[in-house]
Amino acid sequence: MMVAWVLAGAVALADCRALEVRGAPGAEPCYRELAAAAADPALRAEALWSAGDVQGANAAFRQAVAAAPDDARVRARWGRLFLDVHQEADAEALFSEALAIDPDEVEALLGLAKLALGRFEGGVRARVEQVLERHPGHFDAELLLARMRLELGEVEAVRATVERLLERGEIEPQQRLDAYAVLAAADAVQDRVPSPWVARALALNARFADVHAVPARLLVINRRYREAVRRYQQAVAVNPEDWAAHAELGINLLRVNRHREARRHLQLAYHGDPYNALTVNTLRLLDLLDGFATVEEPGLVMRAPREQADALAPYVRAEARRARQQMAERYGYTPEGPVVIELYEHHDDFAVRTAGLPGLGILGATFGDVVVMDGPAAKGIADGFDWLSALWHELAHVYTLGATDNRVSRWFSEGVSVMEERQHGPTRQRSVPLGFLEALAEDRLLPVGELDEGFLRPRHPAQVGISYMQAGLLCELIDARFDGGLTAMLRAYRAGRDTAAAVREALGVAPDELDRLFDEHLKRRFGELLGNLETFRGAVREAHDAAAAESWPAALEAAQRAVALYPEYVQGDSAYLPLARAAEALGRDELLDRTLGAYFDAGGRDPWALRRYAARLQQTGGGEQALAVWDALVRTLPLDGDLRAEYGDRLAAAGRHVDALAAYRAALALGPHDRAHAHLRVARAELNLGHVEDARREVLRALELAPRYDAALDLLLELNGER
Amino acid sequence: MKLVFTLVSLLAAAGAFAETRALVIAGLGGTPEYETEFQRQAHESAERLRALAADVVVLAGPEASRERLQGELAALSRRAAAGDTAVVLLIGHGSFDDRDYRFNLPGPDPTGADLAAWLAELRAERQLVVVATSASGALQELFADPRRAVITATRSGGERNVTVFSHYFTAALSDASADTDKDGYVSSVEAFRFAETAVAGHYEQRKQMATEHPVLDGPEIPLQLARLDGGAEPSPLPAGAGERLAELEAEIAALKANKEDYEPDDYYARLQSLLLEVALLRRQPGTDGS
Repeated sequence: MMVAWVLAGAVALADCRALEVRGAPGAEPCYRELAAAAADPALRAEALWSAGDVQGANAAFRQAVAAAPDDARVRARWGRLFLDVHQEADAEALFSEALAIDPDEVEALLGLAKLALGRFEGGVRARVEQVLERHPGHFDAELLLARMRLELGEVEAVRATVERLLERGEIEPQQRLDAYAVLAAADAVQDRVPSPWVARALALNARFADVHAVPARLLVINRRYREAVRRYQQAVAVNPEDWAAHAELGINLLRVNRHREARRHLQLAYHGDPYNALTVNTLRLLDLLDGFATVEEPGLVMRAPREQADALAPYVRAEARRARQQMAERYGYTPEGPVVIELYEHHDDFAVRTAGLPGLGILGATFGDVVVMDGPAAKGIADGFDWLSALWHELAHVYTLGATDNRVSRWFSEGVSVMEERQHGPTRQRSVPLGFLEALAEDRLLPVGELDEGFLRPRHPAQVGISYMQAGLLCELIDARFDGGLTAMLRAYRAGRDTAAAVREALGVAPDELDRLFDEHLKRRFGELLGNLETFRGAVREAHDAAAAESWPAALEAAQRAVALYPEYVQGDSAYLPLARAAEALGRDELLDRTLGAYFDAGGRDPWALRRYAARLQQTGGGEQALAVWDALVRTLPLDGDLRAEYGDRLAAAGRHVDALAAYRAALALGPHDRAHAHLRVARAELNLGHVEDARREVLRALELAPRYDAALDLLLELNGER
Repeated sequence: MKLVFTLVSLLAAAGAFAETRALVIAGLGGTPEYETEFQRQAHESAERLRALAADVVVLAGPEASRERLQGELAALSRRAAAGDTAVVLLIGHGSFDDRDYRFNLPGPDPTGADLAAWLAELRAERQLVVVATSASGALQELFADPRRAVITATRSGGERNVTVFSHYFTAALSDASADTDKDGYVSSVEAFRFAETAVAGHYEQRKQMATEHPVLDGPEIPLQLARLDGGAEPSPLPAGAGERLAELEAEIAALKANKEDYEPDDYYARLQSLLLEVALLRRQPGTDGS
């Protein structure tokens, strides 16, 4: 039966396809005519699908599967329909059903690979390679693999492979077009524009938008967003009904801070394809952004939730200014326009801003000079997230991307950012996570030439985190051992070199020599600890367990062992914390002070520890240092209004009235429960600075809320010379 | 010194001889930690209420049985005259089986219907009932009465998890930041708003979905629950000062209500003028003890 419909329908379907491939206007009526005439539901489904009748195609596929329940290909094709309308779970189920019937069903195998690719899952390349093992030379599989290899920078090899594919005689017109698009993408990433493959594709089908959209996607992966926008614009010019291209254009316009145009294209995309979650999510995000407050100054545009903006702006301003001064000098690049920084209250909103979908694992992203990230409300120090360090990390990307015209490799950009965090960031740390040390001890680090894969296609979930740390430490080594090495690397990337060539040209060593130097450096630095990782882990665990059981002498002893083995370790489970608690419980004040001091100096930011340290310093006369600790505490928890007000009190007591006023204003901006008191605090701070009229306005605001407020009435009298 | 205003408003609201009478009950904890915590909250709340109430009865531990609760409510009903204010505060665990609410006490638990029937006997014209338990939202409708404001820790009977509302409601009675109008007293509304905000912050800080949403429903009852600043008695007002202060307060309220009609500078100038008179009046000999 299956053979029958293929033979019966093949001619007509092929005729319609030929019209479609040429971009001819008669394709849709052809499909509709075929659908009306087709007795076989599977053929009818194909025709309706191609005519754009998704619902009709779905119903016809359902009939086709009922009529031929053992036909794996029909199920696989139905799955592809679901993939087209973004219903991934249904698509996945149908591909799996098809493979249960026929484990070699190539459409299903490729469908699953495409699903995994879209979800940024690991092991996709291996999946496609498996398809090719079962179906050697399968055109679509070869082409999919080629696109993945392009993403990893294997441009020349891909070019050769695809050109060989085109030499085959039996290529269908659509396959030829798809191959041209891949070659056009290779040209785009190597700046060979205009590409001859574009002209060839458009000669074959004047509405073939993918010849621009596929290169655009590769440019996005290479973080060349402005160029990607131009290519997507060309894609929608070629085919104004390519809704996926409109959606991608909208998303990428947002990445270059062109919101109004972004909305227009997203709305077009939505009208054409209301099933695309990327479009719907991003349109909702635009509505959310309408409610954000914008803070601007020369060189900076900050957007944040309205009620948080005033509390966060001073810190964002300070770090952006510092980055402009320091990073511009270090990396030889100054952004032309303002750097845009968006801080999100909810992680999923940030994820939609970044990838169009919720559930993203990263916490910040930089699109050229647009930084988007989780704000301190989305994640906190308890989640291991230091928002200002993350901001500094992202700002470093602005400079490395800008210095290389977005041609920097992923690992190098991340490496410089991690190094910046550790050496120049708001919270400097020397601590290295244990997961990285374990990978080092087990020789699981990637060679520098393959380090990008650790970010783009990790082989296991922990590999991304390990790769960040590895890249950071490698950049630290380059900075320390090769004079001007970092900027030389940036210049090499800007000139279009890949990592291997950049290392040779900028550092004068082969990549494997750099790997050897790095390995030597790490073993020297962490050698003793690497041999004691289990002992260290055991001591940390013991210390925390004993502290939880309030067995203070045991906690103290285990924590001291752990700290002695790895004094820089101030991650969330740092042994300094049980050590400090034990010292406090046992009345060992001197040890408590020393422990909290060492923890703070090493970059530890646990709020309890910082509060205790500040209090101890206050008690022991270390007022200035206490304020420094308070400052770190408030930076860590910038949305805690009570904390900011308390900090203001301490600053006021120390005579630092400008800072006190800023702290009180931030506390007021955060919408405290007791607003009258917050206004009174601001009024007093204004008065301390001699700003009598500002003080008067603030005290009147306090009394407007609470006309019986004695302390405010007293201040009002004072302001009017009545006392 | 600051208490002159409050005295004015209390007298205005409740009549010269009105009294506040309260009953506080700590229910069954279920674990030693909750047992201790509920009793602490009950005793602490009672202590704060005593500064203003004519009498406060506390039931906690084994004493807090269904029979004792019923008996004490009946006694409260006998003691409280029509012009008085009755305050009933229930702290502990509650449950709701989609039909009946039950307040967990040693021995048999009273149902929502039991509590409603006993409360219906109260003669006081102004009543505040606070049910700071899980599932207490189920009682809102059952307890509705034109004389009664009802505060529950949850918005429905379906919010069945242990609540933290009572912790913050108790804290409100001694926290200066709960007193948002700065009259030196924590009113029932202020205590509720303080606890409501704190409950939301409690879950937000822990990045947990809030499993309780407090509700205040019923008539607006101007009721001061606790006095701040160590509970000093108000100083007597000089002759005529109370009346003028009340007038000034009314003028300030009217000005605020029509704020949009004024240019900002004009508005604040008028406000300042009124407030300066308030401030000076307040400093008259005899009002501040100086």
